[in-house]
Amino acid sequence: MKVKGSTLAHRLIRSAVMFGFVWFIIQKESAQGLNYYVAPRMVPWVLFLAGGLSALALHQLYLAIRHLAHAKQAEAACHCASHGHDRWNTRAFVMYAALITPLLLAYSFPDAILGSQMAAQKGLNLTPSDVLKVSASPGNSSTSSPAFAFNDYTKPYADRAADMYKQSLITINDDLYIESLTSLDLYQDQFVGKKVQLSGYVYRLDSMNDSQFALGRFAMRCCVADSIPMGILVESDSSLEWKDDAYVVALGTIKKRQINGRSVLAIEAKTIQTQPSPQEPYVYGNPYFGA
Amino acid sequence: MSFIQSVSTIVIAILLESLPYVLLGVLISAVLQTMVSDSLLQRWMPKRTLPGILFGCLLGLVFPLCECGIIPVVHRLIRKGMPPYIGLVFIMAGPIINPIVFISTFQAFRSQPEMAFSRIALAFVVSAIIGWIASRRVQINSLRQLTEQPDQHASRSQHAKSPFPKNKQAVYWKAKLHDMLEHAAIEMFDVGKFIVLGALATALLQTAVSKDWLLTVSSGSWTPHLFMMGLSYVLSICSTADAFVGVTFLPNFSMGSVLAFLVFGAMFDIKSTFMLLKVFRFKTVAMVLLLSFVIVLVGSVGFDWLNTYF
Repeated sequence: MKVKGSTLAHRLIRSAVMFGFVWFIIQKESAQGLNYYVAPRMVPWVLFLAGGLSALALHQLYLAIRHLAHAKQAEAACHCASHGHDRWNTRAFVMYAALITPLLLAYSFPDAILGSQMAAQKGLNLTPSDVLKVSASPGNSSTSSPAFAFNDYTKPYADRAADMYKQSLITINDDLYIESLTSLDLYQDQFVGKKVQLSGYVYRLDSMNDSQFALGRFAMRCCVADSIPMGILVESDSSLEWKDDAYVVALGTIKKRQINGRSVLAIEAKTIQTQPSPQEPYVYGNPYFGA
Repeated sequence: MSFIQSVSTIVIAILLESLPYVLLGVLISAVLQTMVSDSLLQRWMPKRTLPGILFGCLLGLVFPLCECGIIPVVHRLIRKGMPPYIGLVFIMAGPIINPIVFISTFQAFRSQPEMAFSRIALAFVVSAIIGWIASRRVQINSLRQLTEQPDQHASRSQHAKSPFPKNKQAVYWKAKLHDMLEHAAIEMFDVGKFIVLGALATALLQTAVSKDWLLTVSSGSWTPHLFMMGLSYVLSICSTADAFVGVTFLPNFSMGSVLAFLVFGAMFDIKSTFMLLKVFRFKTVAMVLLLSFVIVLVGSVGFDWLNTYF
């Protein structure tokens, strides 16, 4: 019975490929490696995928074994046309090849975070507040400490700016990374001369000179495909000592500079030191910001 | 980090992000396949064109899925006798007119709340027009696989009651459960291969094309719109997250061109085209793509025009 043998092989292959994906997910999750691919809020979904796939894979395996055990007994037959799939033709080979390819990729490369090269490629964002300025009417400017004018949409950023302004040394952490950089950029003039400490990866663009590099992170929403590199320009005489993608902390004074005809914030660095890599490879928007 | 390693990371990330929704879609599809009979489904379907179009546009409120999850469900619904034009409208409108996508668009464009509303409005207009044309043109022969028409499982379940005596009911349900699970596995592979192809294309593009190059086409009254639509098509970002990428183009690109990015890219992209070709014939898919392209283009340029003059 040639057709039956083919059904058996298809079930075994499907089962094996699905277990391959499940094993990859379990392995990453237990080593906290899923964060190199998707944001924490996607992790429950990925685990749902692992659960569902393992159920389907076990079921395929069960059918295959039952098939072997009762070879003579007629299959609990499903005669519908979708089992036209259980043939060996080019389409079947292409299908399995397509699904095995990412598995091979997944198992042959270690987890890695997007680096300087991709930051340049995706367009390193040195002016993250741009989005707030488009069509945001100047609005009802009020005076909180040194006048952080805001409208309905930029109020949380004005509050954040006021918070940071009070500190004698502005320290930027992972949990408000995106929001803090946006606030600093939105109120560039007010922050000039303030002391700041920022850690991030070293990125370089062609438009920067030898004493400049950018310090930043990739901001992620759902997965790496939608991640956006953002950062602040850093100036230092020792700039060239710091290799691309090194994780460092810079401490210095805020200045304004021009890059590609745009005015951007820059840190005139007094000290730069290497740091152990951060726990989370990417930064995420804080869900409680502005709430 | 090497080129190939970046590509690999992006491919795996897209798969981990989209496969859970594919699985969800496949499971819903498997349940529909086994539990809902053709005649029952056909009784639910609106008979007339306009309610049909409205039904397709709003189905996303009940099944808030992105395009990865919608295609397996539509594939099944059409094979069970849903008029193809309603399926088409659902494929186009579903990924946009749904609460999850609305909220994420609203969050991304915090200072431009009109974007979230315009996105839904434009998506509605485009899907309704395409649906209206399709209701006249797209007949059942625009579909690719007709082998399963009418659905054999469900028809079996209708006739099954007499041939199966009461004590065999358990056996019958067991067989049905096995069918359901096996179909889910088969469909996972069927749809999965398109997702992988789309993810590979997306990853290669993201790694090979630089944004500096993109910015050279940001001026003009039609160029940026055309370009952003092309970009959203090839980037293939899930419609629940694309607003956060679209917003990064704002200072350089006009609001209308970003709107075009949000609407066209959520309706169609590389992976969904592959998946559409699984359901509809090439000619139908090409026509739908072309028409939607034109309507989104006109709509988004009009949006910019309104913004400038009013």
